[in-house]
Amino acid sequence: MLETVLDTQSNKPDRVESLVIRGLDKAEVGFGSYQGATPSKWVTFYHGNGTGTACDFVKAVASDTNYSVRRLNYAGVWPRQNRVLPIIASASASINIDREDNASLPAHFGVYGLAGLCPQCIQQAIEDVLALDTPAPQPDPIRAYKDRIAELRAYAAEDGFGLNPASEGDFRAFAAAAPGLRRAMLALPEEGNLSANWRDAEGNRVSIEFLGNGKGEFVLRRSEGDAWDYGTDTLEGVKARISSFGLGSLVGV
Amino acid sequence: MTSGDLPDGDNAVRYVGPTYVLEDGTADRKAFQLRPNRPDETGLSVNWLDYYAGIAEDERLDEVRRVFRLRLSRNGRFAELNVGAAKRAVRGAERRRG
Repeated sequence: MLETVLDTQSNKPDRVESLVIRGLDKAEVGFGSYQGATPSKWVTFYHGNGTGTACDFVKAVASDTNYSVRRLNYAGVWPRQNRVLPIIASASASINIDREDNASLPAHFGVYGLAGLCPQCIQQAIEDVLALDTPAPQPDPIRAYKDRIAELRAYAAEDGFGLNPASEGDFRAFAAAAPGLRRAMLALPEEGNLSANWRDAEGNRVSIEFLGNGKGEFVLRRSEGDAWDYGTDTLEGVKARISSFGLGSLVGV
Repeated sequence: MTSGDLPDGDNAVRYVGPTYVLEDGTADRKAFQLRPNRPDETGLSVNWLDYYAGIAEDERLDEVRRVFRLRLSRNGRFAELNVGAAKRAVRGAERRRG
């Protein structure tokens, strides 16, 4: 039944190669090759018979624990003209899949008004899907440092230099990859890179300068035995060095 | 006096600009390193606090401020270092570096 649909982005046909019924109530999942310019696989979900709403379908797919690609929450939604060929689809959610089977942005996601869905139902479905699938704003992992960084920026401006945005980005990446990160004390040396410091009363110390190239210059001091370690490494490498040096709990990595 | 070995028992102060002062009032390590963007820099400047041994301790820093040649920021700090302890720390770091 699912043979060809017209991709409303490219106006080129998608050829459905196989069809897998996932046991969803009145829903079908098709796997096809995207025939447009992007040499990627294409996954489209179809809701079959016009009952329920598009949102029911999306929720069903999203909750299908057997299905490995459930990235609908990353998909943007926009209403678009129904240009699907006269098949039974009443809803479609599509995600680009790369060769490693990673879902990628920008995905596109459509809700089609067919099979007896009234305009109000369609609108409601769109709104429901928007509510379901609009990615919640991710908390900035260095939000807690907003005031401190602003203060450092102001001081630096007085002294005629600025904060290297790439360094700030590295600090953000480091914090994002370490949800348990403990509060660091920040400095902004003249090179413009953020320097983060963790210290405790016992004399344990960790200092990382975020160099802005995905690497950090670190100095570690463990009070027990007055042991030191220092060097430059990738952010992952720095984290590993901190842990292996026994200071993971000081930093929260 | 601008150079020479200071007595180990004496104290020196180094001006730390506000971007190097951490939230707890201590200084970031980078305040005590040569700056890579200043290749002409061959050493760190300090002021010999005990040069003013003849005046009260709490007034010595005022004297340093008075003769200080750079602009002092309201949010900057003077970090006080014991000369002997600083030398030992530097030698220790050199040993570790090999």
